[in-house]
Order: sequence, then C-alpha cells, then structure tokens
Amino acid sequence: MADNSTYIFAAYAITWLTLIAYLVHLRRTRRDAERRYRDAQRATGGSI
Amino acid sequence: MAVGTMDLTTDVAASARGRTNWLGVAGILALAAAQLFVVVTSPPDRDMGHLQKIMYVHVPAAWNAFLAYFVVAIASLRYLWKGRQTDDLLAASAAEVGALLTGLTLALGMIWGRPTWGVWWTWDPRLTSTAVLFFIFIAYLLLRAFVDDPERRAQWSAVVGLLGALNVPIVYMSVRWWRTLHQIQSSPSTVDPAYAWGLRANAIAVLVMLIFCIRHRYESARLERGADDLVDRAALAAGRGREVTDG
Amino acid sequence: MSWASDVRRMRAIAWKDLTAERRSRAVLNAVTFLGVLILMLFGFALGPDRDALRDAAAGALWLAILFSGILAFNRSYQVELDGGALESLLLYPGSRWSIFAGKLLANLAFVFLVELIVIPVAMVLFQVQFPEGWAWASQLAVLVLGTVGFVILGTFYAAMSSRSRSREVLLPLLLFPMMIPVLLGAVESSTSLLRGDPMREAGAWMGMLTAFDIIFLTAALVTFEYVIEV
Repeated sequence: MADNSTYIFAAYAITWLTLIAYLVHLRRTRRDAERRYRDAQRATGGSI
Repeated sequence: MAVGTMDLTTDVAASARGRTNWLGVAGILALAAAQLFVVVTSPPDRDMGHLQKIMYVHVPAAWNAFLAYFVVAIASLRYLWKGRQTDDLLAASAAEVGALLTGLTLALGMIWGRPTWGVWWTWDPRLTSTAVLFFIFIAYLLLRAFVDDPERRAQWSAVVGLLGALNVPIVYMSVRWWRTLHQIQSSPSTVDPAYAWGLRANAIAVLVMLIFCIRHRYESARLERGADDLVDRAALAAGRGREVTDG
Repeated sequence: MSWASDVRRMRAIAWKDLTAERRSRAVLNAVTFLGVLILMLFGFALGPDRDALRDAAAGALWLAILFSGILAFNRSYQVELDGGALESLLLYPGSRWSIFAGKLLANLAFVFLVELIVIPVAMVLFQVQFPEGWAWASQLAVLVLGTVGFVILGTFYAAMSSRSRSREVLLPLLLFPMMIPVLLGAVESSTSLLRGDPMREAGAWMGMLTAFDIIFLTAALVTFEYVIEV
C-alpha cells in the first residue's frame, strides 16, 4: 500500500497544480484583455 | 454583430466581475474542504484499497468535463438560432475549460489505472470515450485558432461543436461494444454507495470552480471582443468619413 | 418546383466536379498510388507473419482509405476557391444543400474509384481469401456504408478547412475523431465476416453504420448553409 500512496499523492498534486496554473492563466488573460480594451478606448476615443 | 451597448468598464460590469471572484474563492475553499474530508474519512475499498481515493478527483473531473461540453453544445445551438456573439464567446470559454478538465480526467484515469491494472492504458470504454472527447475539444479550439474572421469563426465553431456533441454518445456506444466483443472482463463499477456522498460533495465543488472559470474566461473574452469592435467601428467610421468628402 | 431545380443543381455540381477531376486524372492516380503505398507500409510495420497480416487486414485497409481519401476533400473545394466561383455559386437562388449533395456525389465517386484498386491490392498483400458464396455482398455493403460515412463528413468538414489556415492538418484533426465509430464498425464487421461471422456481430455493426450515415447525412444537409454562407 505504501507504493499506492505515491499515486494517490500524484493524483491530488496534479489536480491542484492544474487548477492553480489555469487560475494564473485566467488572471493573465484578463489583464491582457483589460489592457487591450483600455488601449482601444483610448485610440478610438470612446466607449461603445 | 454588435456586442451590446453595455460599457464593459462601468461599475456594473466591474461589480459583476467582483461577484465572480467571490465564486472562485468559495469554490477553492469548498474543493479543499471536500477533498480533505474524503481523504481523511473515506474507508479503503474492498478491491482497490486506498487507491479508491483517486476516484474523488477523477470522477468529478470527468462529470464536469462532459458538462462543459454540454455547455458548448447548447451555446452553439443558441448561436445558430439567435446569432448573438455572447453565445459564441460562452461556447469558446466552456471549450477551453472543458479541454483542460478532459485532459486532467485522462491523466487521473491513467494514474489510477497503473497500480490497478499494471498498465497506463487499457482502452476502457469510458476512458477511451473521454480521450475522443479530448480530441473533439482540441479540434474545436484549433478551428477557432485558424479562422480569423469573427463571424465565420463563430458560425463554423457552432456547427463543429454541435456535430461533435452528436458523435459523443455514438463513440461511447461503439467503443463499449467493441470492448465487450474482445474482452471477457469489464471494468469494475467505480462507485460503491458508501462513497456516494463524498463523491457528490467533490463534484459540486468542482462544478463551482467550473462555473467560476467559464465565467471568468467569458468576461475576458467579452473585453477582447469589445476592443476589436471598437477598433472596427472606428475604422468603419473613418472610411465612411473619407467617402463623404470624396463624393 | 424548387425541389426539381435543387436536384438539377446537385447533378450539375457533381458532374462539374467529376469532369474537372477526370481531366486532371493525375490526382486520382496519385491518391490511388498513395493508398497502395500506405498498405505496403502497414505490411512492413505489421508483418510478415501470415496470421498477423490476416488479422490486421481490415484495419490496414481502412486506414489506407482514410489517409489517402482525405486528400480528395480539400481539393474538391479548390476549384471554386481558386476562381472565386464560390461567391457566384452562392448568388444563385436555391438551397445550399444541393451544393453539398453535388460535392458529396463527386467525392463518393472519387473514393470508390480509389477503393476499386486499393481493395484487391490489400487482399493480395495481406493474404486474404476472396469471400466464399455470397459473403462478398456483405463485405461490399460494409464497404459502401463505411465509405459513405467517411465521404459525408469529409466533404462537410472540408468546406471549412479548405478556407482556413493550416488546412492540411485541420481537416484530419476535425475529421478523424468523428470517424472512430465508422472505423470500428467497418473494421470489426469486415474482420468478422472474413472469419465467417462466428458471433453474428457483423449485422449489428452494419446497423450502427447505417444509423451513423443517416444521422450525419441529415446533420450535414441541415447545417451546410451555416458553413457555406459565411
């Protein structure tokens, strides 16, 4: 059973690593999107 | 296709985004709590022993991955029906999150399978169907990456998404039958009733995270589209202004 | 009234596509040779043991058909794309499904012609006996059902991939996951029929293939306008 605990640990670790990595990706995407929107507003002089 | 008259940077939009963030915090806490609960309290399985604990991350991921594809299918249908850009952005966001969840499901399924079966892959019908779903997600996302015109991209993605959804149950039935014809044993049922509540708790926590991630990605997508629309509209106006002076 | 004109349109498009291909018969020859070449590669990869080859025969054949046949689909839209004829075609009133159906018929003819050569070669290379009695009719049915499913989806997805970037990789990525039920059904029933269908499974697989073809032909006809219009 000691062998199996490696797999169990790996499963949970991968789950959280994936989640955290995606949250970071989400945050970066949002920052870039907001920047693009603000730049577009500034360049075109107004909102929709 | 107009993105709508809502100014994407007003307080209304900002507070909507604030609410989304709370959802994320709640989801993470719920997930951690549910996982802690099951890891500590769930009894070892008759056959699998403590390996059964992997089911608490693998099965909720699988359920929510298929749910994400369901969102893609519904949003695609709505886009073809009503032509609203927001439905297209929703489908794309759900596809991104869904693809990730599907990949995670596969990885966890393999991690469970290796100590159980001695091999990393056994062409089990459910896992194999999940692998096919993964490829359908990837094809959807790559189609979007290779088409530049927004309207064309939206319309084509919607059709591809719907046809993919049509195929998922067919693939599952075919693979399952293929396996039963070639193998004597079938994969064990994964859920003993004793584990049902722990599984449900984890599934709901993952569902909260799914909703949060899709909403967050969707809001970013709306900002991106809003930026593109502003630029397009300005270019259009400038062009028209030029035509007036010429004529 | 419009039904008759749609059918006429379908036939016109099918005939135009076919005659364009006949003049450039080089494409048909090239695709056929590729199919045979792929069979040889499978032979090298899986053989030379006789039993291994026989077991793999149906699988190798269908993969050879898939990998070579797919080259036909993007090409079938090339003629219109090059000449800008697609826009003119869409200007004429009439249902879009007739455009799809016309191309479908032309591509079906093309792939069947390729199979006419590739199948006998497969039987030779993989040391498969010609089916006894009437079994060849069942095998033919499997071939037709599988090919129809392949060409329906290939023609459909190529309407998009031919007008996108990276079309050579996009079409297989879109098409092949959808082909999995067809591949399973065709290979399983063919293999079983070669062995005399001991478990009576071929009929059920063929039923599944038939259902698949009907479902996706309908879906393709209904949604084709969304694909071709934009």
